[in-house]
Amino acid sequence: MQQGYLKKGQAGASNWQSSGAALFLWGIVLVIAATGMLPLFSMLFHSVYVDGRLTLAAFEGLLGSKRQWILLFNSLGLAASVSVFATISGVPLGILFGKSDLPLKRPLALIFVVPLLIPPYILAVAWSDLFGTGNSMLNFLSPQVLNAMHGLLFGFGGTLLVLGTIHMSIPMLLTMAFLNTIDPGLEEAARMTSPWPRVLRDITMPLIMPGILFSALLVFILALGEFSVASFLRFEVFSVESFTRFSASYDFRSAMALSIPLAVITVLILLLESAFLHKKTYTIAPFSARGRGCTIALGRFRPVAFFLAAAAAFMLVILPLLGLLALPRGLNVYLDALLRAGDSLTRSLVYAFSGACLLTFLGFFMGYLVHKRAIKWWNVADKMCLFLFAIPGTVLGIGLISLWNRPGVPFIYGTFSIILIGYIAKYSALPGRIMLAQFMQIPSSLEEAAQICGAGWPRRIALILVPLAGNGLVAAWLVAFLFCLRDTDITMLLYPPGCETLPVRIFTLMANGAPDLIAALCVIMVCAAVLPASILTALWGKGGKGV
Amino acid sequence: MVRIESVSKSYGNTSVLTGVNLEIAKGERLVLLGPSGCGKTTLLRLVAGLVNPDRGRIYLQGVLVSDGNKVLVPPEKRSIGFVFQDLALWPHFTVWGNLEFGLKAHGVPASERRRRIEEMVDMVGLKGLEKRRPGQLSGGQKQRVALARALVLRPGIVLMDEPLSSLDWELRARIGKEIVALQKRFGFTMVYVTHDKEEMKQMATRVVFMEKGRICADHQSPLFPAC
Repeated sequence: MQQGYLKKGQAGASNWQSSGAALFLWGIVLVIAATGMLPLFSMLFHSVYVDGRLTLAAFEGLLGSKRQWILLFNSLGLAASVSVFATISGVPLGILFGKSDLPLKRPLALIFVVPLLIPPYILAVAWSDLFGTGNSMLNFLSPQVLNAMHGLLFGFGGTLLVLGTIHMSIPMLLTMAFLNTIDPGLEEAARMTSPWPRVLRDITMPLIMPGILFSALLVFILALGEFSVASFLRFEVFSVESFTRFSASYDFRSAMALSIPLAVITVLILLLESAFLHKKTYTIAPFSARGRGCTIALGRFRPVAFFLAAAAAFMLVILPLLGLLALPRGLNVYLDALLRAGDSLTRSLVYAFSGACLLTFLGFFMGYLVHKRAIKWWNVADKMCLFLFAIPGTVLGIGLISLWNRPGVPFIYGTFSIILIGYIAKYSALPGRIMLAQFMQIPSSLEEAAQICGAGWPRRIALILVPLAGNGLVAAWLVAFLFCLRDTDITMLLYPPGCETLPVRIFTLMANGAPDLIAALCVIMVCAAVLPASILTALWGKGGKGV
Repeated sequence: MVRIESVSKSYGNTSVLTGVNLEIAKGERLVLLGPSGCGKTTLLRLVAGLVNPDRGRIYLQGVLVSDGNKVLVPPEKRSIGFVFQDLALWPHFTVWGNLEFGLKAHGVPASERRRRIEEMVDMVGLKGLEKRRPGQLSGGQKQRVALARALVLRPGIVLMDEPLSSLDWELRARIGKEIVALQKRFGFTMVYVTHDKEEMKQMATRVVFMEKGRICADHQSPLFPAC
């Protein structure tokens, strides 16, 4: 009856399967490093090594120019303001949607997330169209008032409004996620003696404060690197200058030099996060698989809270997007838009689909290796992905050009492969973090049991982890798809002739295209993003808690 | 059957096991007893190969499987059955699928798989439940599936990490008896971790007491020495 004793000769058998797994995981890390870090090193190298010698001439010109310092000040000031705006508005929304019994929470939350899912400048275009004289929506206002509002939009104020609206969903979502990690018993114990406002102030907020600070830092970094909104609303910042130097003047060296300060600031912010917040924000796993903790009953404040949340959603998101809808008069404008840019839309969807598949594959294994700490320097790999996500897209794009724009690789630089490489470099952190959260909910004993039963690593991955992580995989794919679809910064710099995506086509048309045509294209772009977002929201509702 | 030589294990600055020496003979029902945090589960996981020792050696039937922090024979090749504390039943497989998984991994032909699973299902009292998923089973039924999964591969050693801790006392007593009966029938060597003295009395032919990462007593019959 007894079988399964160790066979003679098994002593000294190398554990090749775990070596194979480690090798594979190292390969994943190297792919991401090659796509993202190598271009940045190349850019740094070419900015200091000119005509066979080391020189800091490009940086001297940069540091010596008063204008560049003003631009840097503008960039930092804008990023800080956006971060404050987004955090002050996003955190209360996160508490309202994540912790109260407000009705229609999920649709309201989705409305606030929509601006994050579309190319950033579309909201700027929407506001501009709303106050434009050709728009019928606000024609009850006098032309002078409309002109004045249109004028106010361009510059710091409008850029802050648009970027703040786009990014407020980040603190909102992260607040909701961190609220889920709180042991409900802590709040319940406080509720025995105190009303909810005090519990929120003294118990809940201190517990999630690291997460709030992390979201503020993240918004700062993302706002620092964003260029399309500032470019459209004519607010001069570093990233716009860098892009303009490259795309308009072909001053590659200056563009690279201008990218370095942004990269340095990004590194400093991430070091700050790592030093003070990392251990407290590393895990965003729900405390209880049963669901979230204590709910705040709003009672008589419910209608007021609902009205305020709905009014904010309407004023900040729905109104400007309605302005987009109001501009194209008639269906023929949309048909014309599709005829002119249908190929760009198709390319957008194809590139985003391809990018999402690659990113999900890489993200699955990145999440696994971080969760299991499966290789040495796993934390360095994790930090690398976060750094690449945080670094401005223009910086990464310029880096990719400096590396790949050379003879011998036309099959990469001359094709949409270069865009996919850009997506991998920029967005691998997103599916990686989603999968990490998903793996943290899967008891490790499930994989261990499979290993004890004799399954090698590939089998365990395919038959145990992939099925159990299904929700996370779908969410990771959808998030990757949305970010690839909306990408403007990297695609704008990298697209080969004839390969422009819809966001790029719209952006280039803005200079001299008909407003109603541009508005129609923007509406099409919004629809293309909202559909997968709705699927994601439905998934969230079905209990994709790690999501 | 199992020989553990001077094994030590630390997690960061916390020493979990210090210089543990233990020999387990074939067919023994050894209970590892001790307070929470004394290193019982860690010792079990070291034998299974799920964790590497920092120092020391582990032999399974005369074969060196771990030497220092080198795993010479990975867990999937050690022919060990393991019943986890949380049972670790795969929620997306049926009872049949849970039992079949390991047999497939070992390349057992389909007809032999069917024969073994049917035999095991009958033996542990799961007949009629083969198509159910773990979420549709009671606590006692899940326990039996976990046992059956560990035994279906006919391992020489079965490790059990507080498998009955989530059950009520009546069910614990009943399933405990069934475990002993299965061990006597199959003749495997059993290492059972618990901090419950009643379970110890029921299961053990030999009791090893642990405290603070060390073995402080080793008895052939269940007594209660001062540690």
